[in-house]
Amino acid sequence: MEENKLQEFQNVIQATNITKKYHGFALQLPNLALPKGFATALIGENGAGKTTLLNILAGIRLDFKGDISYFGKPKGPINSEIQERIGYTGPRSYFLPHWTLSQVEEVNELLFANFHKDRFRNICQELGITQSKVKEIKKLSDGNRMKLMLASVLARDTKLLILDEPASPLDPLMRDKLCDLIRTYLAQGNGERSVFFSTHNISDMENVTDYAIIMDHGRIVEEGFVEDLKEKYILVKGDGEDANAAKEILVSMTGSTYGFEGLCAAENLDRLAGMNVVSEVPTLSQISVGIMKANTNLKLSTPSFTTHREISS
Amino acid sequence: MTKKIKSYLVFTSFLYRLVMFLLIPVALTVIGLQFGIPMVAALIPLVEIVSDYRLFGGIQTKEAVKLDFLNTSGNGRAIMKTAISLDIFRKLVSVVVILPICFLLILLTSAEQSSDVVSFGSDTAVSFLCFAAASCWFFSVLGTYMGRFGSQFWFSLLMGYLGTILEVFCWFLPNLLRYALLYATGFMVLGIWVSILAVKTILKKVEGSYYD
Repeated sequence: MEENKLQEFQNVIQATNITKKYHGFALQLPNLALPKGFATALIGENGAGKTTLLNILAGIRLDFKGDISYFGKPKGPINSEIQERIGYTGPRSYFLPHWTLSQVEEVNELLFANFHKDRFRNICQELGITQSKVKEIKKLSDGNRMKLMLASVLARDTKLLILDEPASPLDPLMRDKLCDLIRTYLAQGNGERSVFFSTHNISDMENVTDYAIIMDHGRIVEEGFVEDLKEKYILVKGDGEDANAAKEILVSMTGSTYGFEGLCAAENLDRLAGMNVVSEVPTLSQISVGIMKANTNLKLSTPSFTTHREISS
Repeated sequence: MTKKIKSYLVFTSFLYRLVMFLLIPVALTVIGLQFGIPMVAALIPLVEIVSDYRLFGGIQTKEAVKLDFLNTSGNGRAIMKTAISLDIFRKLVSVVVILPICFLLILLTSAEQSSDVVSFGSDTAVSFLCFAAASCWFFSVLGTYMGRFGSQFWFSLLMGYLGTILEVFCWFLPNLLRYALLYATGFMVLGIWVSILAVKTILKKVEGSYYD
């Protein structure tokens, strides 16, 4: 269904057979498509391959196999013209540690023809980054460093933003601001701009996420438009007595002292008939955690269930 | 050309420019007037090597920053290459300007400490200046190159002291005044070789950052 739906949209990135191997890890993506004009969230546990994938797509990692097509153009290696249209921010070393705000501005001007100095200054001011605050990059907090990176990419005329963990170093207020910035960026693009970001802060970023890709161990384990995922999966809560029976049906399950909570594929909901359960529309965070839980290699402890009878006795 | 100069200047802060392009040359000239050309030539490697810590300190180390930002642009590699090359060239221009100015000022003021310099003939003076410039430029470039393999300030300082000590030893080379031009040529050749090595090492580092 997702594949059909994706075909309805143009893709900003279409990649096939992406492979990158490390010691004990392999990123293997037979097919990756990012819908154009939307914000796509990349979700997965640590070491799932999110950063590797983003680095490959941004063109800062070239040791991979596979083909990538950007902006509907024929597949081929990334070039300056494509990079000019992509704004990337990353968690690793980005600017030189001793650079000042004006150096960041100068180097942006040199690197990118589509960089606008005035816009950069305005965004910096909006985000509370001032010349007096930025003596040196290395003296900035992680949050302010992220703001500076965001100001740099938003001051350019790009068609795609690739943001690696943009929300992580930001405070809750700034995460809200980040969502605003992403929404404004997309709205001003009239369907021509797209955003692809990785995040562990799914709840904070949910209201700006249109499409989600969930990764585990270098593979995509689930993807789709958020509204479709919310139809595909149902959050089920039930009494501990039914936990063992429900466990066989649910995608994943979390136990509590007096019951269970789990993610159920909508098509399997009928199988829970007769059990004392309530169903809810899950949040993207609940869907993601449920799917990650079902696919993880981590040895998570098995939930122990207590029945209502045991609690009352 | 403007873009190339900008590519270099972008790596330098306002403070660095103020110190390296103005204060240090003036200070070295004053020191030269007081203590003579060899003293200035010995101090130049120390100043150049230590100040490089503020520009590209530790850039050749394994744990060096990967400069993702530069890699996000197709111009990143070219800018880095230009910056490193122009920095080496700036070092050369620096000695070629400071030392003759010192020399001329010494001649004009006939400072006591440099009576030997005043007595030089014009040929000897040129050879002497060429030797001083080539040797201190070579040790500046060599020390800078070596200093970038360490990410700590003390390592740059150590390289700076080494550069200065080696430069001092050079002034005891046999028949210095007689073979000054020959020595100068040797140091220039070595300096160019180290410069090429320095640029290549950085480019290899930048190229390597796209891979594991």
